[in-house]
Amino acid sequence: MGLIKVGLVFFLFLSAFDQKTNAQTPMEGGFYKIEPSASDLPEVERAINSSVVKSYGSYSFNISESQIDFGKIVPTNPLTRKNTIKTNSSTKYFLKAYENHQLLSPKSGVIPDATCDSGTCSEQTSSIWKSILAYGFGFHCKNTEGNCGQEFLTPDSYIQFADKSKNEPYNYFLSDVTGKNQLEITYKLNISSKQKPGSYSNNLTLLFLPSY
Amino acid sequence: MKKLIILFFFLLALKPNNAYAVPLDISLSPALITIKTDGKDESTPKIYIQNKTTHNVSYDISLVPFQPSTLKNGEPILQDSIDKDYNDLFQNIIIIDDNSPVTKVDLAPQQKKVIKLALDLPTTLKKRDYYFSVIFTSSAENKIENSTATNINQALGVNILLSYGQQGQIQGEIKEFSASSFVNKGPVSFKIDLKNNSNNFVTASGNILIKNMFGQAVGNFDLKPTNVLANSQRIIENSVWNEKFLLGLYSAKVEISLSPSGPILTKQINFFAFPLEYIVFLIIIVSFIYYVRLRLKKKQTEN
Repeated sequence: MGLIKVGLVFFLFLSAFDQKTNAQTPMEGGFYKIEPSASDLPEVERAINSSVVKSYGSYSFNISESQIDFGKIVPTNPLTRKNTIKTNSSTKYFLKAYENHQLLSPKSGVIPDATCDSGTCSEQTSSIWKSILAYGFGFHCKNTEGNCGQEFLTPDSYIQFADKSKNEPYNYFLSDVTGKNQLEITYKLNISSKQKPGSYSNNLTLLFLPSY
Repeated sequence: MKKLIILFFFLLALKPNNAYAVPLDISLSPALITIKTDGKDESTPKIYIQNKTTHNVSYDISLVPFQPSTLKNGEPILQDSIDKDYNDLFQNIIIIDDNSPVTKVDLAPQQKKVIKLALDLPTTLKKRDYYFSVIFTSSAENKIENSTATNINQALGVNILLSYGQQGQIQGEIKEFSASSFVNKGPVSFKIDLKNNSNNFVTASGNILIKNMFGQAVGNFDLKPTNVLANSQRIIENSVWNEKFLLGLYSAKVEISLSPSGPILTKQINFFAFPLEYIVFLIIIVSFIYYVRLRLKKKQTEN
């Protein structure tokens, strides 16, 4: 019995130590305080002899998970993963996204971006994706506070990420907005039986740009 | 005893796998810096950046020129290539962290840093406006073996509007000032499309004055100060008169100053307001009264 207790204590100690590096940062008061205080008016105007420097606004940008891990993928077994994006700004801003290339394995090739059930979804146009026989990689955006855009009005509508290697125009997660916004992004992946086994990966960039 | 040891190691194995998917959480200030300089002094604007997570983070720093969006909404459109002028400029911008030049910033958990942009602009640099973003980009996670994954880079921008050299003549025009010519109630939204014909960016400010058909001022509100880049156009937002009940002919005059020393641009429009809902209600009441009178008359005649 004594050994069990020691084992459990040791186990709990290790878990606590690991959580220090793995735990998500809890929200304070529900959202993020912007420092210094938000304002559209110039916060600082300094005349350095003949130079005039003015500063405006501030913002915060949170991504709940910086890696979307699908694990080992199996044909005709669609997988979804989610993360949350939170933004807050005193000035207007844009949140854009793009992938550096399609999911790629140096030995096995690419997993193409999804075209959805009808074969029509692209980085500009969304479409329903429910069939297990529709393959590829795409995402759905759900706004919990804010507006993802018209493309995601139906829960099963998906869109491709803009592929920078093909010079495709950016996806806009948020466009021309101010204040707080919160989005839930669902990443979906499905492969056919013809897809070569392997570990595929790519990089997705979420770019927060204030307006000028 | 053996069983207990096996159980102990079994419990150890159940310990959750270390995930590489850490959160990224940054506060950044300011969002925009405007600089007007003739380059005689070293300008060192500051950027405050705070890591709000419980782990170390590292952000690469890059400078990217931008142009205004053709949608005239203030969106910076990052450029894929840089010309000679921007190349010359960027060679004279040093990013300083703790008195050392850096190309990336490392932040400990909850750490806040002040990054300085040292602009030491030589006289040989072309005197003109430069518009660019300072982009902070997180490093991608490590690859997970035997797994398919998407790594997310967080990129944050601070926009810089730099006007180098003596300011040229400021010129501009109001390309459009409009509202619905007929409204039945407020609020009334005005569209203001402002064109900057100067070679330097301007910060436009102004107001809209509204008068009724008797010439009395019934509304006056300030416009949001708006930066308009050199030789470009921008729609001034939030130009809304919040008055609810409106009746009659109104005139609205916009006055915009492109700088503290002018020039001042003006334009006037008229619009007509008629509260249709009230009129329809009035017609129904009058019709009802008329109908009742008619019926009463008919009854009297029959009697």
